[in-house]
Amino acid sequence: MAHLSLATLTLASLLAFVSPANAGDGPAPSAPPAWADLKPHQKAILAPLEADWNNMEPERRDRWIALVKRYPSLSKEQQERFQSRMRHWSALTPQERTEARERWKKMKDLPPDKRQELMQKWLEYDQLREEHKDKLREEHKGKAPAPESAPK
Amino acid sequence: MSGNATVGATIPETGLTASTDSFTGECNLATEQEIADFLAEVERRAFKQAMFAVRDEHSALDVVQDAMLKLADRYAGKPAAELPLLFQRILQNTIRDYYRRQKVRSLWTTLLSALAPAEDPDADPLDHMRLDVGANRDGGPADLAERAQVARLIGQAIEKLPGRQREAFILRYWEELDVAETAAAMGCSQGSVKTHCSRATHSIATFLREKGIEP
Amino acid sequence: MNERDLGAKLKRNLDASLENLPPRVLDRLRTARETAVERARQTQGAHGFVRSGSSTRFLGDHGFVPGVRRYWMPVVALVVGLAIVGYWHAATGQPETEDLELLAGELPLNAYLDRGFDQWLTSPSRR
Repeated sequence: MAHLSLATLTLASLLAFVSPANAGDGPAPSAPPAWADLKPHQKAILAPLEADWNNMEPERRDRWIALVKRYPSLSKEQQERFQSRMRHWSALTPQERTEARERWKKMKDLPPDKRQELMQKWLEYDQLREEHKDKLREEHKGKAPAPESAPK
Repeated sequence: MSGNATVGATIPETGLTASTDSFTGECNLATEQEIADFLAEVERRAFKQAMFAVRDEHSALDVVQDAMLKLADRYAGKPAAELPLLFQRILQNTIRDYYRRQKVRSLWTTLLSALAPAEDPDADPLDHMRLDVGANRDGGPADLAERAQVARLIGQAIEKLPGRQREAFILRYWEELDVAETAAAMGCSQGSVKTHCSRATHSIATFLREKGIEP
Repeated sequence: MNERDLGAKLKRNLDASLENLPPRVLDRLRTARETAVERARQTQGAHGFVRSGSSTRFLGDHGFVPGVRRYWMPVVALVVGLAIVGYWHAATGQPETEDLELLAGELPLNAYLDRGFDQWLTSPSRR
């Protein structure tokens, strides 16, 4: 049976080796580049983040660099939207980002007509007066978290 | 259930016969082929089951995938015949774990359900609907639409059930486990299974009747 | 109507409802199943349990005698391990794509974050 434990060992060490190495998905996970080290095309795309870049956590820098790689696959319109939201996104708390991702996933899974409807609703909501929105936000705060209908 | 169904089945590409018994003396332990066939057979039901409980496609798929992987980890050394019960136990636990993680359900869920299709469109009279599938149905578009509508209502009725009742009902009547097996999968007494099932079917019947379907 | 009859009728309906699952769901179920079977193969290999089907054939067809077979075990485990790691990265480890789509999408970030929007959507007074 020695060869079996050998197989397990090999696998275990392999997994231990592979996973962290890939986790960042950046070119050099151990040392994400400082702003000055970025390539010109990276700087061009990441320009909105220049001021914060060197203070950003390494993982987040890796993440942005990975995004830059895929940036060319976006349409012109998408690229504009992407760039215009970078600063906002970067300024969010990790929790807010996680939540936005979750909601985005749900939105993405909606059938196209529902997604359209949701966009329409957003536009309608966006038209409301700021005071009205504030009132809604206040109302929301007062609301208890949704009751859990889960089995015990 | 699938269990032993594939013992002795021919593997298409090779014409080899995958029989556990012919291979070694440790017969009846589940083989890879059996687990593959079992999962293929059960996966769509498992997905719907998770859907009824978590009501979100993404999460339901995650739950099923999780349960499948856990089964893969644990089945070694288990007889093929035990796969259905083992899998159901894992699936139920995975669903419960999901709820534990999701202590507060996202308001976004509420939000999206606000956009969900309106229940009972007026244009669609429900009073003539039947639960019977198959017998004297013409399979035409109207028939299909009616069936889809009935299926949707049944789905709603099941979603509305308290978690334990839903579990018991599905295991007992959809997965067709017997009372003892259902109790084992749920980790409760046979008496509770009977009570849960009876309440569940009663609630479903009442709900459907309210919607104009004679159960 | 007794419980058993109703249960049987509902089962027929539920079974019929399985025919309309969207392809994206079926695809993901298939992927999940294939990953699980890979995992099972690995577990089995590690435990030295009964084998049949593809992995036995994989070794058998290449003419390895049982004595030689064991040297291939680490290799097989390695390949399976890589496949699983690769899958997990593909399945769970694409945060970049996700963020890219989110940031480039039609809805502004506030649509995902503004509680007022939640409230407005769900409040009955809106209608």
